[in-house]
Amino acid sequence: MATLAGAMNGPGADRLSALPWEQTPLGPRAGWPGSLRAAIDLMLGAGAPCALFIGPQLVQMHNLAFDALYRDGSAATRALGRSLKRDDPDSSLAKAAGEVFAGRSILLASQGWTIGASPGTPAFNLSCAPIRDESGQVGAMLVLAFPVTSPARLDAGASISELQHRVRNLLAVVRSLVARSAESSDTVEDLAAHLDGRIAAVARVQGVLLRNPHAGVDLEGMIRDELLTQSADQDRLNLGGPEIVLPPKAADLMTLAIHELATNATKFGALSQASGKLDITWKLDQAGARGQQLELVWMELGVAIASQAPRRQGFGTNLLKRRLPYELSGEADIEFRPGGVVCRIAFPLAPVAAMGSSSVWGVTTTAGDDA
Amino acid sequence: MDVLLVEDDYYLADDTRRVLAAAGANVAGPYARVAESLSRVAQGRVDCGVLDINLGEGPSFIMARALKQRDVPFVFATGYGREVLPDDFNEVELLEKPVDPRLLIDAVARACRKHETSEV
Repeated sequence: MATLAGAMNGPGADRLSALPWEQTPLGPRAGWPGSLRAAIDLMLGAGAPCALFIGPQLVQMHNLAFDALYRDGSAATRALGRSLKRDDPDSSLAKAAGEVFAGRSILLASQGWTIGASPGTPAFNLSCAPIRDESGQVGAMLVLAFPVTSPARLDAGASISELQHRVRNLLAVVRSLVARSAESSDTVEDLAAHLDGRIAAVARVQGVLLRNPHAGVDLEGMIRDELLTQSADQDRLNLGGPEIVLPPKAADLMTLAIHELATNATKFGALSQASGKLDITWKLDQAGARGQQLELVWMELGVAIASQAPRRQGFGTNLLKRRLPYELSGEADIEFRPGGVVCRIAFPLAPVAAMGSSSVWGVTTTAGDDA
Repeated sequence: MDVLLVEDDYYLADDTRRVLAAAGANVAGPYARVAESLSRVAQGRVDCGVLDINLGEGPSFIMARALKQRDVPFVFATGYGREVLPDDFNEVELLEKPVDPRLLIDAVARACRKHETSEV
């Protein structure tokens, strides 16, 4: 009879039932009030991570989902039936209980809050609310945990590694840009001007990506920004194409490519002469097995013959002829024809998963990661 | 000596290729993608590997495991610190980017030597 009356229902009920409750401040299960049993069933049945801290001693119970807040399953199980007030009175959760038992609901932001969790444990915000007993007094604190949604804060340890990786990579790329710019510059002034422009272009795209790492970079916005830094006259521009969001890697490369083309046009091409016009159009092609392919055509018009093809293969040509195929499996043609430069850039717009998320661009990546 | 080079950034890949070639290595690659690197390894023996950990999709150890399975020594050249390495790569050298060319050559030589000694 007593066992039936004290039965607990829901996932994780067995391990709770098995505890020697008569040795805790709560006493034997048969004596628990109906309000407490109802709260326990609600907690166990909740899909979200949920816990109860019962009575003045804050005796802990939680459902299986709440185990995610702990370093491992055994740490989570050890906490069951323990008094938070006795074990960890200085924790922010124990302090929150003071407020909650006074009848107030509070939200604990994840910062600084752990219950024995390691730094790699996903961060959770905790919503703490009072549960009243039959007499109207607060008898327990209900804690609902929900993951911090910002991907960057999901895993503090991992995001620091990720940041470290990006910074080091960026430094390596800058070092390489310097070396490559030096190879294709004739004078120190030339080198300084080239480097300044290239690093600024890299900085612009990094800025956009850092502000919103999961959104990618809008193609048209990026092209307009690059042309704006060259003070290109809007009347001479014609831009057209569907809305395209470039994944980070493609954004990096394309920003630098557009920067090189725009710089060249400003020095020698369509943006250097009153008669010049610049036409930039793009479209998406269904390229069979490769999926969608982005094709962009940069066409300069009305440029007097005076402008000649560059004397040698420079940084921009290398970018389009070598880096584009290597990094994006793309291809490019550049023609220096009478009237102006025509450049065609094409690459598969393969989805590139951003850090920590598998399908930001709606399609999952091919090779399965390591098990 | 055939050295497999896996690095997704073109400039870094090309720089490292030059460094390895200048030191007398025969560079297999560079490869920007796991699939291409795997098929190169499947085609024929390489003596050593220089591997980036992140090929644009977060840390991955597919290539490292493939080389380990084939008993090919390798080093990591990466922007990450050691903390991202799974335990089975505790013994593997990790060079932090930007990688100093001399340190890279030394590390490759060390990895190969260590491997030879362990085989005896």
